Amino acid sequence: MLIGPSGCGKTTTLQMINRLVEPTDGQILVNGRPNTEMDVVQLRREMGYVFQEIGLFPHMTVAQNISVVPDLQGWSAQQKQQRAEELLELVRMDSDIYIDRFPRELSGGQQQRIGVLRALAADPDILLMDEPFGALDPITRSQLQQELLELQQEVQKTIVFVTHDMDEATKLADRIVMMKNGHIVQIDPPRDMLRNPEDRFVAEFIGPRRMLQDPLDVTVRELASNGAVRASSDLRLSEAMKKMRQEESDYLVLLDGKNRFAGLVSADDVSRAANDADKKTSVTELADRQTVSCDESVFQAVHKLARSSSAGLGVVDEQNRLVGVFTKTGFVDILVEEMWPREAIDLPEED
Amino acid sequence: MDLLLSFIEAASARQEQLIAAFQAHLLLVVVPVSAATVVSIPLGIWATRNEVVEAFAIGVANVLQTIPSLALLAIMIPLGVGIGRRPAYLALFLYAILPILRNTYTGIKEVDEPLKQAAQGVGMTDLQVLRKVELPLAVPVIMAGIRTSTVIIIGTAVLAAYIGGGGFGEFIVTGLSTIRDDLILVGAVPSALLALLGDQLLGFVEYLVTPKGLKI
Repeated sequence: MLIGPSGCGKTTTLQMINRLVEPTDGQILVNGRPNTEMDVVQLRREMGYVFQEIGLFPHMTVAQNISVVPDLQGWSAQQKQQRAEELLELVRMDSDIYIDRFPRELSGGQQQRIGVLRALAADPDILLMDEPFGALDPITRSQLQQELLELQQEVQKTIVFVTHDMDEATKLADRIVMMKNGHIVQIDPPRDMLRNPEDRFVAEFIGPRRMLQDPLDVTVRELASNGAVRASSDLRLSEAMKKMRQEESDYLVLLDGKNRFAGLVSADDVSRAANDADKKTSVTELADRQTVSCDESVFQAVHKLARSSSAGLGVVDEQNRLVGVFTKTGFVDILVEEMWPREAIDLPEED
Repeated sequence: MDLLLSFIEAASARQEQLIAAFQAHLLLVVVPVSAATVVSIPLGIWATRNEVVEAFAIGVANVLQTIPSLALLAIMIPLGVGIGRRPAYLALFLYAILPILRNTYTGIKEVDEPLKQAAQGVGMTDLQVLRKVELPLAVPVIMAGIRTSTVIIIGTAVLAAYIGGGGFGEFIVTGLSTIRDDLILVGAVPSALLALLGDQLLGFVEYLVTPKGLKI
């Protein structure tokens, strides 16, 4: 995810990847090979490109637009038709209705869905997306962002995405590359960037107190800590105590054999249980199993946490896989950082 | 009223001549415009790809267009092309070039930049961009150029009679020199009708060749 203010070079960077712009210096490696050594037409056909202006060809039908690259690669009519139907299904557009329509008969959101499908048609490994949702209204935009996340679950591509919208970046990105005047300022996962902006520029770009302003817009995924100490759920109490002491953590995240969230235990609970007469042998019995879906807002998560006696919630995806944990102490740290960011206030140097 | 009556009389007395003039006039339009189309479209495309051609072709065509049509026809005589049909075809051909050339050129140039970039970005070669995107989108504009050219040439072809090119102009030239209003009308009315008809017809062709996706 490339992000930065206008003119920082993010689109140029993207265009250099498929050589719509030729670099004056340096190399771009695509699958380990400098892209300047590849045939430019072949290179472009092997990468999907989604444009901000959508760029559907108005004289071609939906099917023809989707099939542009397959057509250039000489697929048969039947293969193209089948692929177009398959892709429309992927974004839940009825192919009977839409396949023979023209771009002008579609809404902006539908057009950009087709734009994304066109990029996916020949099943490229790499997808380049240049502010693809920038021209859409906020509701459609957030809808398409959600669809892209779901689509990505299914197709698993390497996506290079350009945006100037920090919310979009934090929602979609695995890693954010913050750019300024043609240089990279910071590369980090969204959560790390939000919490530890490299400098004042990054902090200002993120915007002050984003979470406090839009607690409904920030998902727990962004704030979930994945640095928690993890342990197997069949751990014994004594082993759990030892582990927490070793790792200097006051809680443990338990995982079952399939890497799914099995609960959260606090050091207090474990030590209390260890001193108790009727000994429980496994930590699982002490564990708090409350979870929150990673796509829920921080607002909802905080309320859930406040009502709970637990030290924290497990943040999980649809398949109940652990994304991270959201703890009371962790949240206080985040709040402090958001309200009084260290770089915004000139604190005396700690020693 | 008298004029109308004598016009009808003069026209019905010259039915055979009228048919011959119609055929000649049609040829004076179809031959130059067809030739100009064949030359102008490739030239216009080339001009969008090459700056030298762009400056040269558009420049020359502009100059040709600024020469008064009668002068262009008349100049064929001292230039040694002589009189009759051939010089008329040549002069009208030169005159027909500009609208088609200019529309081909602008039709392609004015295809949205993002669309061209999209076409390039998905991996089309320059020729594929031209064939699959630029030309289909420019076709209505090119066709409009052919239409404009045709209408202009139907009118200008009247002047071809001055260098012996034939057509409806013959009646007008004779009418003018013999001061007979009815004869002038015998030439003027059908050529005006032909221009209107040609415009309508090509307007319909323009609609037909416009890609369906653009008509919505």
